[in-house]
Amino acid sequence: MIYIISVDLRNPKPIYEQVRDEIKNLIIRGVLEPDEKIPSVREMAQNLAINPNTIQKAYRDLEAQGFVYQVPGKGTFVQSRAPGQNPGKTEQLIAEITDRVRELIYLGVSKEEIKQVLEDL
Amino acid sequence: MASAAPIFSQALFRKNLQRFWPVFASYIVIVLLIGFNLTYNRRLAPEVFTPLTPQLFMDSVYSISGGLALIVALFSIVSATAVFSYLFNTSAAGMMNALPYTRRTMYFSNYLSGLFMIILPLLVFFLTLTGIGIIHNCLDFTALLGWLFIFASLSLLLFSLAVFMAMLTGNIFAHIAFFGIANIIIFGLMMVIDAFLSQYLYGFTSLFAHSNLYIEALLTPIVYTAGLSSTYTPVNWWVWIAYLLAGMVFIGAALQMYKERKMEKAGDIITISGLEPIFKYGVTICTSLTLGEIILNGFINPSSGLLVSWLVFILAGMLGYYVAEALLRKSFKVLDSYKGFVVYALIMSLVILSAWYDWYGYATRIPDVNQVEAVAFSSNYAYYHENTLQADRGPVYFDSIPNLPESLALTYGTPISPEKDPRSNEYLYPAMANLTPEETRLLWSASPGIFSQADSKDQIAALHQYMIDNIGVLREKYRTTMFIDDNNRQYNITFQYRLKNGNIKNCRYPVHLATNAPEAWETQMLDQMASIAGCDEERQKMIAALDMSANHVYRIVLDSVVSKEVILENESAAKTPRRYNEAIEIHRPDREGLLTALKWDYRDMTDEQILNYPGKFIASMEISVERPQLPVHNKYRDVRGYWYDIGAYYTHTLKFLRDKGYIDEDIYQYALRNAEDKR
Amino acid sequence: MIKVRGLSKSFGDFQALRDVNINVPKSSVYGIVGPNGSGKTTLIKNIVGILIPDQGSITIGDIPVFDNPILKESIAYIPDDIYFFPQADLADMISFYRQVYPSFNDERLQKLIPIFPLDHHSPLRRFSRGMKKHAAFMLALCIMPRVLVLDEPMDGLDPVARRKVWSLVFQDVAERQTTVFISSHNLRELEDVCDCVGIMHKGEVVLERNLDELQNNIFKLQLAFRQDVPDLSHLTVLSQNQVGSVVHLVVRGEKEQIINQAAQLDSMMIDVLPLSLEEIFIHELGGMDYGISSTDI
Repeated sequence: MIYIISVDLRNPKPIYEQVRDEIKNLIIRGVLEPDEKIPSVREMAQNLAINPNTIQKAYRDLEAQGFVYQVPGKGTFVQSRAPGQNPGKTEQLIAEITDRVRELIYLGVSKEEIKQVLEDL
Repeated sequence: MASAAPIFSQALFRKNLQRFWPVFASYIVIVLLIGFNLTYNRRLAPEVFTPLTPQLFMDSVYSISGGLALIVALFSIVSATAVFSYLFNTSAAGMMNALPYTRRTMYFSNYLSGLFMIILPLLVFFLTLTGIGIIHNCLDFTALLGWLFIFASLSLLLFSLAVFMAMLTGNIFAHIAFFGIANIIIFGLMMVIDAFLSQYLYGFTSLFAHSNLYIEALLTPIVYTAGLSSTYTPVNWWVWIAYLLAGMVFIGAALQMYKERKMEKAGDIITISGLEPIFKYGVTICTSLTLGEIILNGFINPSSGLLVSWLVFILAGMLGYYVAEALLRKSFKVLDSYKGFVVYALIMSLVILSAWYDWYGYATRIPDVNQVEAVAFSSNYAYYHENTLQADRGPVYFDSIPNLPESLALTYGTPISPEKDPRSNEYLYPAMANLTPEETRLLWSASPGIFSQADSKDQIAALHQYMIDNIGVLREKYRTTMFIDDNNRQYNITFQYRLKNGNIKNCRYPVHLATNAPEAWETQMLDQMASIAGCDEERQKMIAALDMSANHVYRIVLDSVVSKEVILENESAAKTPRRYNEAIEIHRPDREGLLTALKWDYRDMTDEQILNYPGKFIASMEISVERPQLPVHNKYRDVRGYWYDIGAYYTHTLKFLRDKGYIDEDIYQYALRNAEDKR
Repeated sequence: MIKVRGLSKSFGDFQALRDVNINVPKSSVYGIVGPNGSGKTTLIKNIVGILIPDQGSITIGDIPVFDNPILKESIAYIPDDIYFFPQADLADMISFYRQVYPSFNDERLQKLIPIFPLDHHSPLRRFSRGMKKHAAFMLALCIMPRVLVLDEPMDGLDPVARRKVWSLVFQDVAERQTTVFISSHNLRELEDVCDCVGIMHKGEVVLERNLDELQNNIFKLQLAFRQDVPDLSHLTVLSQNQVGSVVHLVVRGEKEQIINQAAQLDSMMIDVLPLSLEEIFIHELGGMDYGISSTDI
């Protein structure tokens, strides 16, 4: 399960961001289910050979963003979400749309035409 | 493991023994070999010594003290180098100092393991000797314990010294070198300074010649320990206690240095910056003096003069200076440092100049003649009569004086007790030392070369003064005529004054005097020297030595008479004559006549002839005497022989020998011809 | 955890360390980086208690280090020039460490043995550099250290070995809050593992910061303009480079802040990228003669 996450050391993106975003992705896509226990800092550090402080920071970010919650002595668990609430998914989709829109602009489609698409929805 | 800092770590102790076991193993093997040798060599073999007494056994054990002292020294340095070897290597020092121990614990762990490695074999030796003693029934356990104490003290001292040296350096070779130097430094320095002063200071008497070197031996434990092999000196336990305490001092000093040691100095020659100048200038001075001496005496004409000698010493010093600098800096780029050398060169030059021209007035010292009790004087041979001159203050040896005055023979030759000493199986005699003033004067009056009568002393003082007044001329002549050739003859004029306060003043001058066409001062000197040589006091002594009634003479033997071949050789070319070895015994009836002839010769020889005694060599004579009038067991009662050289000047003696047929006419004529010659 | 205050050390005329101040928080992984000769090893040797400082203090957990065996029992040190007793094999060294360090843990030893496949009875002097490092790590971890000091730890280890070693070290950091102090001349290496870094240059510490602070404070910004490049003075620009119509900038500030600032410009594209540690240092040190080759940004 841990091996689903991989960290690319050559990627200039800071490691803790990579860890954070990969876990976030897994949660968003539903691979990690609500109330499921994610590996401890120690396990992650050991298996990925990453500084546990880095992992700790990623977990704290995830907790701040509401993706996980920590139970002292027990570990870190995926936050359960009310149906319909999926802020991560939203973010992702918006990013996708943004990229698509840019591409359209590049291909010569005007902003008015794109706005028209939205209005027609 | 307790966290309170222990004095030493068992883990480190064991580790050292595990790593360095060859050290104590080889020491033990050596010790067992020595024990084996002692048991089975002739000294202890029962058939040689029956019975084998504990005393003989202990003598045998002590007889190897010199060699054993060297072994102790060797293993001390090996053990110390081994256990502190990590200090000489950066990586090792890093690892060891990162271990969880205080520096004090590290120091003691290593120190104690090293000490253990050299004490253990000593204990094995002790047990071996005890075993031998038990087997051969010659064990004196207390004495053996005493022996153990001595060598344990020595071991502690030398090992602690070696450890102390390890604190001064970060280089293994320097460590060994410093230890070696520390052990011989006293004698080494003396030798080097002695050689230097002999070269430069006119009138210098060697440091070694007339001191008993006791203090120097004390400061050189190996030498002092070697002195134990002599059975005549009893053990001075205070010395060994002192050595033990000195060892403790080294332990403490080394501990302090270890605590503050800069571990980064691993690999450096000197670890303490303040000592670097001492190292540098020490090497400079020693190289200058030692190498300078070697070059001057080995390769250069010694009479080349001041400038050449000075140059050699300065250049040798320069070599030493830059070598030391290179060692300290671990680089060859040392030529930028020269100020220190310049200072050294200036000081050295001053020292050389001051010695060469004798700014100290060393050669012109002369004691007040009124303070002189007696003086030992010699023109030819540098005999040193210190012991005899101070017979009332210390030990003296007078067994070799012919015709020892009877009172002295009685006092010092008679055994203390009629029983032999059970331990040594010999008679014990009174110690030949601290004679009474009367005995001392009596001894002087029987010793050739020692003058105690007023006129003799005055003559000698006059000669000395004359020499002092002309010291410049004497010195110059000596230095510029270093090679003895046919034109000059070398005399070593020695004055040894015994003063009323009991002290000795020594002066010795090598002098070259011309044999052909001497100058006025040379003639004056020769005359004075001759008149001292032939003065009444000396002649009387020589005659008195022969003054015994015939039945005291045991035997007279004429030996090494020159042969005809030798005569031919001598008269044709100057070569060392071969001896003609056939001993002829003088017949009993001729003895008295011969002795009378000898006495006449001493009476009639001119002063010059006595000065140049004995003249061309003709034969040797051994006169053996016994003194049956002395009590039984007196050590002077038995036969003793005294040798006389019969030279060309012994005209009466030679005529007697020719008349009685002991020597040929040719030889007699040869002697007559050479009696004219003053050389 | 480790505090170095005002440390100065000189070797003869050469000043190796000059008024060095270092703060290593507990259970952090602190990297000290600098060119060869900058004083890293000297600093480490002072921290571990081998050298005596000329001036200054070194404490671990507020207790001075020098000549303190109780403290040193929980410090494991692996130097660059690893030294084992000559003639010793690994079994000997294990036995020695077991006697010397009270906290030596045999359970851990058993766990580590399969991880480091080494011949316990072959003389250590015959080991390759990498194998010696393996042995050293094994011994170091067995004493359950609270502080691990490593001088050029990864020199001589292949990538597989490195990962193995770091995995173990990080385990300790996570489980037992071990503090790790490492030195390196390789920024790439430190970037992956440290959470604090300090830069040394000619005996001084010129910079000491948390890694994420460093990384969150400076970014690459790529903009593209149809026409002339507008006024960029509202951005804290550290360097500027133009290729065609794309402007490559290195800008100080937080990411959000930079995005907002860039959005004010009429740029065809806005790309905000992180810098590598190497790149960060070049910019942080500005004109200092640090000695790393500049990388094309």
